[in-house]
Amino acid sequence: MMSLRNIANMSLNIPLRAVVGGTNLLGSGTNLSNTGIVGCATNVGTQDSSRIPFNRGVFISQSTNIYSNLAFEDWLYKNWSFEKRNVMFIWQNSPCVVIGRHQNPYVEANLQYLESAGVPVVRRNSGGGAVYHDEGNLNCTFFTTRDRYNRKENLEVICQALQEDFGIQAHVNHRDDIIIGQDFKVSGTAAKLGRQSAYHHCTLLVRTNKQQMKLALQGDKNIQSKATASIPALVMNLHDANEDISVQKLISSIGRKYLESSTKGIDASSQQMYQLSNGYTLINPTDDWFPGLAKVEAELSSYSWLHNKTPRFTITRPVTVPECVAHNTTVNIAVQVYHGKVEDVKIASQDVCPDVADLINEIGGALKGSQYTPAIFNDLASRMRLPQPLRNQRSVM
Amino acid sequence: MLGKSTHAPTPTHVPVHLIFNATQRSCLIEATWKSVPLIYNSASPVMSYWARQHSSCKRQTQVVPGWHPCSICIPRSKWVLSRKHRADRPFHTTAVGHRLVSFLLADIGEGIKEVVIKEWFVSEGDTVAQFDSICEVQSDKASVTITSRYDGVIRKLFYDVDDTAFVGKPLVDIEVSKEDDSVGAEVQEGEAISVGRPVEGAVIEPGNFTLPTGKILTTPAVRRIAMEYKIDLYDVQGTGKDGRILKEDLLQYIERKKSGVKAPVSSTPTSPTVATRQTAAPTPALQAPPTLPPSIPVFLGEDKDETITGFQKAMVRSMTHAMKIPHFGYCDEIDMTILVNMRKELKAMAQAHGVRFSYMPVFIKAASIALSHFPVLNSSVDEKCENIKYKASHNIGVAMDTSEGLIVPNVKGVQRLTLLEVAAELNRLQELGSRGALKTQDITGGTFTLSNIGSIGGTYAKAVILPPEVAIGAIGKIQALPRFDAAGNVTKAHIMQVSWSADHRIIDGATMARFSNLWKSFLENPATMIMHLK
Repeated sequence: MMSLRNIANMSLNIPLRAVVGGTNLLGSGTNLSNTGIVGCATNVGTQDSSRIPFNRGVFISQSTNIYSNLAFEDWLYKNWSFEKRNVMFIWQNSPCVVIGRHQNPYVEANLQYLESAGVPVVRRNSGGGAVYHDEGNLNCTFFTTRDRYNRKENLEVICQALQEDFGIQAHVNHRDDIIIGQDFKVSGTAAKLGRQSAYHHCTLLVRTNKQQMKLALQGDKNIQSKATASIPALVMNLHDANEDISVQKLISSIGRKYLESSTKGIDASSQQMYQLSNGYTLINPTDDWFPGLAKVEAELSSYSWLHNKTPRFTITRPVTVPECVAHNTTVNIAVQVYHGKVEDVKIASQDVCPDVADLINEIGGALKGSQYTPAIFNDLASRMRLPQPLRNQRSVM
Repeated sequence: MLGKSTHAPTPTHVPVHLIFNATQRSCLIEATWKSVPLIYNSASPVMSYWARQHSSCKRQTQVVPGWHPCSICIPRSKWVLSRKHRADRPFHTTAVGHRLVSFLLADIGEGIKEVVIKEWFVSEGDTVAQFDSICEVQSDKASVTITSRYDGVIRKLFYDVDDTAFVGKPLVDIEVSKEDDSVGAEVQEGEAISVGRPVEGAVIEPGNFTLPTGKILTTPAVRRIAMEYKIDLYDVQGTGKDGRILKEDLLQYIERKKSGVKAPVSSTPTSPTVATRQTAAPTPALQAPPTLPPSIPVFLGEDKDETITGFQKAMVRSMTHAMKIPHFGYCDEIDMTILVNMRKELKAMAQAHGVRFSYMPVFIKAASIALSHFPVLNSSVDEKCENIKYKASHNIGVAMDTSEGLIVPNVKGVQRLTLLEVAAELNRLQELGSRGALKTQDITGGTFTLSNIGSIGGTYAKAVILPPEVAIGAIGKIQALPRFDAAGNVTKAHIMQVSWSADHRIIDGATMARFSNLWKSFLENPATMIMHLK
């Protein structure tokens, strides 16, 4: 309920103390209450604004739906100004795989396995590589204006939080990953920069199911493309380094550290900064509270966003020619796909008998322009059995 | 627009004259809305025809490809002008035209020298406006959206998707209108990738045909005023962005002209952007101290749009919520004569205790005493109004008007505080409130509210209840009014009005009336409060 007292809260920038201290923060994690924003979210020129350059706020998502969270991230990036405040958005998701903006889902993820497991594959707006999310994984997005964009600074906040509250020694490497020990990666980073705003987000493996992650991220190796490749790395969970850690505790720890740190460097004794900054806000990413969110969500979950944004790639697979056409022949066929549509079908093996080659080229020509699916190779093979007019039809089965 | 196109060419007038000529000759001008007013010339039917034609067009019109005024004399490929050349070359009748500008890939930051083009949002021949997205590039993990710096038409894309692009090298070629002053803006986002070399401090000399582009940046409103006053905009020094002439500049010029001070010649020569950037700071020529302008014509203000955000937005929400409560009002007037007469003594006593006296503590304490007789007014209902919670503590809120707006801190547990303690607490809250340092606990937990709007003014008011409370009182100002006393004579009485609002779902008029009467009796006769002292 919003009363004038809460309004007063807002204008005076008092952090909601009741929310700090973690364990009751997100409840079950799937608590989609009807109140969209609990507490204060905005900073309206305080009396002290001349002294403090700008304030910081922490948003915590109450949803574990990857589409809602990504949509909210995008919404915030497009619809908010970060002139007066920096924002850190903390979110978690139920199991899913998230690939970078210019990646190839076939390369990055085991789509068949994921489909059977009911795990969605989602393309996000920022660049970078593919990650597996589940409830043991924490995501943090740091929103700033374009000129205040600084990845290292954000990651330092996390490292300091890990150090101070959990005694975990972590450092940031040149690729902006957070590493523990020599080379165990616990966090990956990606970013998006626009004209006025920019955001940098990272994951944090707290207690993820590594087995699932491995199975989920096994893509198809027979694809050549210039899409952003994910760089595989040895990973570990933060839980392995410190048994005490949990996602809830980590949220409050990082949140507090973020609110405390000033712009130039991070000094631990910034109680005043903490007092004056905006505090925590729980976010329920629904369209009622954030008009336009549903549209973004719909786009993110659409088939075409996932598949038809894929950069050009060529997938080569062996196709067994049907017995009625030729005996004992397997031909390697390379299908070139651009933005989800078949661009070209070529033969990739040598010494193919010319009849078969012609047949394949004919069918390949008919398939150009159609939507690519992994079943295209089977489709190709089955078309080879069909008589002339049928096999070149647009859609056969 | 200046109506002087028939004069012998002087530096200030030639541009108009020549544009006139150019307009006659060219079939199509790529006219942005900025340049259109310049060719308003009622003397020329041809010009006004073109003005009319283009005044309704949008920011860019498509240039007919191939037909390019400058291609007559200079092949288009050589038409990438640098400022230096323009300064040397005499003004040209076909100068209204287009320039091909290479838009270089700006520095992304973090020492990144090359990026990969991931997606194009435009293709060759598309019209773009400033800040439209051109392409998306990726550097390692950052996906950056590159936006256009200029308005114009894309003429060439230098890279394909998946190519590696280099920072500082051309990304696209954009054909911009020469009138567009933002072209050649040398500095963007902290780095200096320049299109051409600027001419350092070039000053216009009379008789020199190196002339400004003929483009003055102002709004139509300013041009209108200048027309009324028959002022040549070239004479006016612009102090706005890019040398824009603002209303204030024009006013100052008018007033200076009236007072006989010679206005400085606008030193915006051929290199308008750079030089105007240099002269954009107020020039030394503005020596006359600003005197009050004697009579300024009244300008029509422009409507201003603002989205409601932050504090106001929260207010919107809270008030909408509050108005779901069915309010009823009950008003009364209170004879404060006795209290007013007691004021001096009370003030002295309070001062002895280091407390600033006002009537508010008295109102609060009286309200608390009255509330103990009517506990329903100190209660709270839930959302669906199914349960009432009678609150034990009287936390009486006092509405305060601060620089932030309306804030309602409350004094906790008034039922157990003496008047002095209430006053001290109120002082503390007021002081914190004026500094903007009120704590959460000061603002939350209120059960009843009093709003002393009378301190600013007013008599009767209709206050809005603050959920989750159920009642609120608005206190008007104390006025000296004539009233009849007990003997029937007219005396001077100090009268104060009070307006109560309460939640009609649980409180009826009678309860409110009785409460109000009780409160009124305490104030009209403070001695009765002694009976209820705890």
